Amino acid sequence: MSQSPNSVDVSEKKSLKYKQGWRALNRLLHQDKSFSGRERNCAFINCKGQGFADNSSISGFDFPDDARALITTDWDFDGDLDVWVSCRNAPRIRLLENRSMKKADWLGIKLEGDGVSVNKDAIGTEVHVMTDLSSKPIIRTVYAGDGFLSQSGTYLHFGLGSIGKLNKVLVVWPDGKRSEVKEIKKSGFYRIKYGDDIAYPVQSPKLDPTTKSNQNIPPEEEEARIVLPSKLPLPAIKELPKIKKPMLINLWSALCQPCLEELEEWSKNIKKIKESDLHVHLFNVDEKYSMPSEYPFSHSSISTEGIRALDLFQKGVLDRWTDLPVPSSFLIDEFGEVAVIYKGKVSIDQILSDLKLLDVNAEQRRALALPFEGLFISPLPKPDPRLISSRFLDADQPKEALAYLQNFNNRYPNDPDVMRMIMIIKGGLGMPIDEASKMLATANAYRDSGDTRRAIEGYKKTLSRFPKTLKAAYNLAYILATDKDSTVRKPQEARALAKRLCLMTNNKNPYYLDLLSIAEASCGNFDIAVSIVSDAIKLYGNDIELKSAELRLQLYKSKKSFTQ
Amino acid sequence: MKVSFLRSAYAFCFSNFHGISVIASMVFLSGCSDQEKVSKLSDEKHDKIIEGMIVAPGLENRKVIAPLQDAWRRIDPKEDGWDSEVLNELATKKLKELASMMIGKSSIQESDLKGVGANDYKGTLLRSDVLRQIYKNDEFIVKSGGSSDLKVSSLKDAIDNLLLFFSKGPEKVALKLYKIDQLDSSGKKSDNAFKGRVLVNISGDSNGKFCQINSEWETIWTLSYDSPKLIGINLLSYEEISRGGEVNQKLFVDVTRSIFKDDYAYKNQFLKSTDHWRSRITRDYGLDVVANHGIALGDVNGDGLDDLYVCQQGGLPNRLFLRQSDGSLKDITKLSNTGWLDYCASALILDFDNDGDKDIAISQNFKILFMDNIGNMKFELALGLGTHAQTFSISSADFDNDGDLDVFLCGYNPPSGPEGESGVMGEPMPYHDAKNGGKNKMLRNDGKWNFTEITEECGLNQNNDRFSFASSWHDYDQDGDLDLYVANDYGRNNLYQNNDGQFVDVAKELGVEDMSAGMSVSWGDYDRDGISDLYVSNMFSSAGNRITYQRQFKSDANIDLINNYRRHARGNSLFQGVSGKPFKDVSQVANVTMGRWAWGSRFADIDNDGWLDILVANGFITAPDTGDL
Repeated sequence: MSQSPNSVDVSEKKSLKYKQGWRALNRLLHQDKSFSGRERNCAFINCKGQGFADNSSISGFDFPDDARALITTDWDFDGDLDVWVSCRNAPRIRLLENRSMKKADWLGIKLEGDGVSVNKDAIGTEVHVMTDLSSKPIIRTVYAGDGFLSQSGTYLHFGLGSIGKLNKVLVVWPDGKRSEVKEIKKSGFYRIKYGDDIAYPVQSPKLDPTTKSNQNIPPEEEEARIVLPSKLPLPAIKELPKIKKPMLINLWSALCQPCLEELEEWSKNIKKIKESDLHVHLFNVDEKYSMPSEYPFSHSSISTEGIRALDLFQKGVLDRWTDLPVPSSFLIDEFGEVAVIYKGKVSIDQILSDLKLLDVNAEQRRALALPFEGLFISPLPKPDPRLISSRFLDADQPKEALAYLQNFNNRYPNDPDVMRMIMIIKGGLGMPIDEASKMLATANAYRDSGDTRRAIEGYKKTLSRFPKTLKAAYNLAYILATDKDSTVRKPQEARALAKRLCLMTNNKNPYYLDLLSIAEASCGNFDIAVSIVSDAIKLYGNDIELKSAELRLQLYKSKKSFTQ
Repeated sequence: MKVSFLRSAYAFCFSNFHGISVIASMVFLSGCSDQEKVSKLSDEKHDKIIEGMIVAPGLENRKVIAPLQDAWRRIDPKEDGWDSEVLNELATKKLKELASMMIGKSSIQESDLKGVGANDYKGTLLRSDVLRQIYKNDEFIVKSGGSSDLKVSSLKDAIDNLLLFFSKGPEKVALKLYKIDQLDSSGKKSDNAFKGRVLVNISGDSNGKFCQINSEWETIWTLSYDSPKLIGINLLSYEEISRGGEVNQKLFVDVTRSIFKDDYAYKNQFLKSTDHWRSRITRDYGLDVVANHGIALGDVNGDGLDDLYVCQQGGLPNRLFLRQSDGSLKDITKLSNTGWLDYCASALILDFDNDGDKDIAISQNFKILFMDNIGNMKFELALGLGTHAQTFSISSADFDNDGDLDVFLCGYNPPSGPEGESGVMGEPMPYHDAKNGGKNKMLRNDGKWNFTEITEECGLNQNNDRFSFASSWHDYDQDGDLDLYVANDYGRNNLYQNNDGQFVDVAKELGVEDMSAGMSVSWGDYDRDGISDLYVSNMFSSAGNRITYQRQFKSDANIDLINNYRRHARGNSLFQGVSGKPFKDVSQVANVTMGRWAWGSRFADIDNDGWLDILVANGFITAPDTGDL
């Protein structure tokens, strides 16, 4: 924090140091460092409006959780407020029941709007309660979503102290209407509907008694099975035999008991393994290494670099970065892509059953990888090798990072994010790169992230330095013609660019013609747009763009332009 | 390198034969002085690689090295030049020793105190001589006292006198050092001594009643960068709270298990920590270390009992639990079609379409999902919208008084630019008053599951560039429409005054900008004067309180800026509403700043006396290590 610039306008160098501090901090957060940990939750008792006193401990509220959301509700309908809390650590949820001495009076009120003048949930409604104990009203309001990530219970709760009687209950509805509610008695639950000034008593339900107890947190498990929804290539390991079929790589030490147990079990089941056509390769990590003859698997030692690569790989796919244990295993497919990582011992049955994960598609694997069923709204994320390369970079191994990305790029060419990262690392290593593509890639990245203005700026810069970057001209014109923000759209400029592109290609490139038609339509010249897009359609043949060009033709005919 | 790693691996394997042995740590970091080795190692290579680097815009030195090494340096206060942090570390260690000595004891052995107390110790008694009852209700009695005039000449006497108060010795003792000055007991700059303020919480059984002592000590230490010792403790303030009546029971007890019983999801999902899941489910699913996941109550089947919806990390399904007539909870996630596996921060259970049943709105990272209740405890996705910012809390109210509920979404991180991931905590610029956060969004309900974004149209685009965590709608000016307070991390908050559907940010003129790391907001009339007050969660940082008062802190900045930083470390804020005037910041006089690293907080009358108390959920990251960043 002390490195933060004093204002936004500061030198790049100074803010860089600060930004690096954040990134470093963010990295430390992956590495199991406590940060304001073991803090006890706080409670403050209100001393009649004259200040508060900390009663965290004697209220029993001072759990040392990493607590997050907090809501209150009279959960057990006994006339006092209970609390639900969500937590980062385990248990990740707590219900804290209020075991007050039940001497004070109280009131629970649920409000209902009519859905016309007042929303059904009656959010924003205030209730004022007057008692004979004080001239000051007790006011409570119905909220939805106050606090932090939370919504409290439906009833408004009023603690009343030890009163003789209720003097008045006034409801102020959000539309301004006020109703004084009669026939309401202390220490009960009521429902009040908008439009009638009656409080309907609510019977409190008959609930089973609760019991106080610790939540039984299971001991931390050491073993972990990690399924990658999007398989990623294994980093290069020079001792690894050539991969021809699905392979299981295992790291073991002759001095590690679970390793030996694991290998015993696998050896006993050699027949099953052979039948499944799985190649098992053992990497021994011991200094003096001689393979005991009883293990019927291929084997070798492994260099420090190799272990390091495997470790950085597993850290790359996980959010929590703990060191790779022995034993560990990696299940990879015939192309050298990792589908499952096992930390600790794993049974042969588990491995063989996981072989099916190599063949299912990513969508299926995404669901199968998880311990619980559920629904996805997000599209399947694409495999991101940068997760791995950035671990290599952090570990000061830029060459390995680059090699990893290049290997990925050979298998899945032309992912713009991967290409960009390759260029950045090449730049960092002082290797030659193509400046024009680099500038174009940057502008494209801005465009993809929705930062249109910086994208436009980037394309223009690219064109002014490298005027023959046609792709930059195309992308620029496309944005200027179609952006949904009218302040960004510059149809005239787009038309000029598109015209030039068409000229340069003698009006023979359907993509440029199509672009020009979009620009013309955007300028309001629909007839011209119709004729140009018709030319493009003829030239497209069976191109994938044909369908959308035809749709555009229809748009132009009905005097509409094409926007994003 | 290989040799040393193997030796360590052997040693480890012998000592832990049946467990899993960790090898990679030996590759990177061997022994206890790992950090130095790492930085030296990368220093050598560093020069070669960084030199001549060509970088894309905004990506300068981004990925290639440095940051980690830089952070290690900064974490070691000795290298960063913060003397007070070094002294803090040493003194805190001593205070921890002292605290653990006190637990369960009615007297301390002189010999145990040798490492903590100096020979020429002089201080006051640590309980007030005169105590005044300042409040009593059915549940609690609060007594308060000031400093003490009675002197003692040994640390043992001071502590023993305090221990006497507890029948079987204290159950819990917490001593937190939060402010350090290099001054002697007379307040002069000193080369032999330093002073530190310590917050004290001690609790336990006192004559059959559960009691808690809150006080503040001024501690004076010998100036030593090796082993400072206490020369004296002076009592600055003192407060005693006890449970009323004869009951020796805490107010709140954990009954979670008896509500969930043997529920599968509870046992297998919620009883395992975020860290457990972060080491098993890959990052692709969207998990993070902070784990900001909310809970909501609402009656989804109309039986009069509130049901519980729990939001989860990516890869773990949200859960909907139906309250049974016996009070227990039943998992109806699958049946209800609400088990989103994507990262979800928070939810609201409300009747958005005014058809008489409760629907669910869910903030799902960069999206908001509206799920329509279609009866029989089933929901279907009625509308999903992109939010263009990582969305945390959502709040709802009928801001335009047209009879349906509109929705406000708090945007935290903006979408990542070409630089890629910016980290879970964002990159606020500048830290104390960040203006590069994600955009909030206001959605107007136009009926039949049409929501229109009107953020600009209604004026909520003012100061809409902060890292927003929470918001709450409340008619603070009592003019008949609902106003909106927004709590923002890394800087200033907003109070948007609603004038017939048009909003103006009046936070500055009403004194509620609350320059700090805002996390949560709660409205309530704590003083029962009929005018609404406001409680906001922030971070109490003992480190911040120490560092920002040191001379070398931001030596290039003016005092206003430094005060802003100090404000950041102050903790939670209570703003008292005053009719027709700006709010009054009563946080410190009301004694409610110390909420630690606070998240959710709210006013709630937990002792049924009609006066709103305050609850604060806090704590950032607890890991197995014992240190603290």
